[in-house]
Amino acid sequence: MTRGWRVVAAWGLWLCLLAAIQIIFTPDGIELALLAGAGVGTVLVGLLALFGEQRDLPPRPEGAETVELSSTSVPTMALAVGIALAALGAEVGPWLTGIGAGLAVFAIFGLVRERRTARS
Amino acid sequence: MTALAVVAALGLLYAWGMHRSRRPWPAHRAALAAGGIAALAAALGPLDGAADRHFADHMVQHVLIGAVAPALLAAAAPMRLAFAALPSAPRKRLGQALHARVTRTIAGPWVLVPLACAVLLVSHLPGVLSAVEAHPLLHVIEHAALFWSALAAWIAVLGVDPLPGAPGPIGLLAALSFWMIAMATIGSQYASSDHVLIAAYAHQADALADQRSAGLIMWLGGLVTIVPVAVIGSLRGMWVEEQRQRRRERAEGVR
Repeated sequence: MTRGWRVVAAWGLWLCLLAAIQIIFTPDGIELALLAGAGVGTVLVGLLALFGEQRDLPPRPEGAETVELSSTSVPTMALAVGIALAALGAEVGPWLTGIGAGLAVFAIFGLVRERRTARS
Repeated sequence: MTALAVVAALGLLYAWGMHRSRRPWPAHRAALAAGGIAALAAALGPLDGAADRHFADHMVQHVLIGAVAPALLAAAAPMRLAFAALPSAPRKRLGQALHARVTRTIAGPWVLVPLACAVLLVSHLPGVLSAVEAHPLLHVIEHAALFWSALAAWIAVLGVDPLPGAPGPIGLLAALSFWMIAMATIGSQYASSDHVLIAAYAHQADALADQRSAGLIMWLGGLVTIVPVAVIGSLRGMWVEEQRQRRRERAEGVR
């Protein structure tokens, strides 16, 4: 079990806590629903990951080629941040969309490089 | 006045450290420290009077105290400067204190960033903001808590200083995302609310417009501080990974 689910669940709980704090400000229903929904959804994804990690996997077939996956990938995280910033730019301004898109392009190059290395 | 004296003391302490440093201190670190001190002085000096009259100015003050100044001062590597400037015995004691079990437990980013977020969230609740507007001492305590909690968190997150438990690129991005969303949540609430939330500013004719500007300043101020660090951290992380990969490929080519 990698316990990676804890990161996803903790992020979901953080969003739920922020949604609870929003209540003090008496927000619109849609504002509350969006943040709380994102939080609950992320917690559920974390729980799914937990069940997936606990599941007994069938034995690997004889002779099957093993593929080594890196447990952490900087380009993957950078791509996620880039996409998030680009999407946030829709609300904040095109300058942020440009920064996010630029970061995402660099991250895609990094992912391609990672993939090529994994194949070689 | 007392707050400005503290800012002056911080500046003098840094300058004294540079003077005592056993090796030439990098100019870019000194420039970052000067920027941080200037941001803090502007927030606690010229902006202080305006912050009492307009909520938007109050939020500019908070962004400078709780985000811009701590980030610049943390990037100026104050602990590294302390190690370079202190004589042998105090330097050894400082090193021991920083590597003590208690310090390693509480001084990591996974304690200090949530602590900074908690201070940020609590200090911007409408009830708390109204209370600090009514009590000057509470206001000073609020500003001090915002600054010192953010400075400690930035030092832990940036990893510029030689401290145990500095996060890698992925940890840095995770911590910054955690922090950024807290600032965005608070800012967006003030920006989008359809009624005045802080009683102290309710008497103004344009109180709601002022509050919306304040919310946007909080939201964008967080973004403007955190996004450059996140982008630089991502690119640096990918660059380090690329260099590692090239070394690996060279080693395999030799074999």
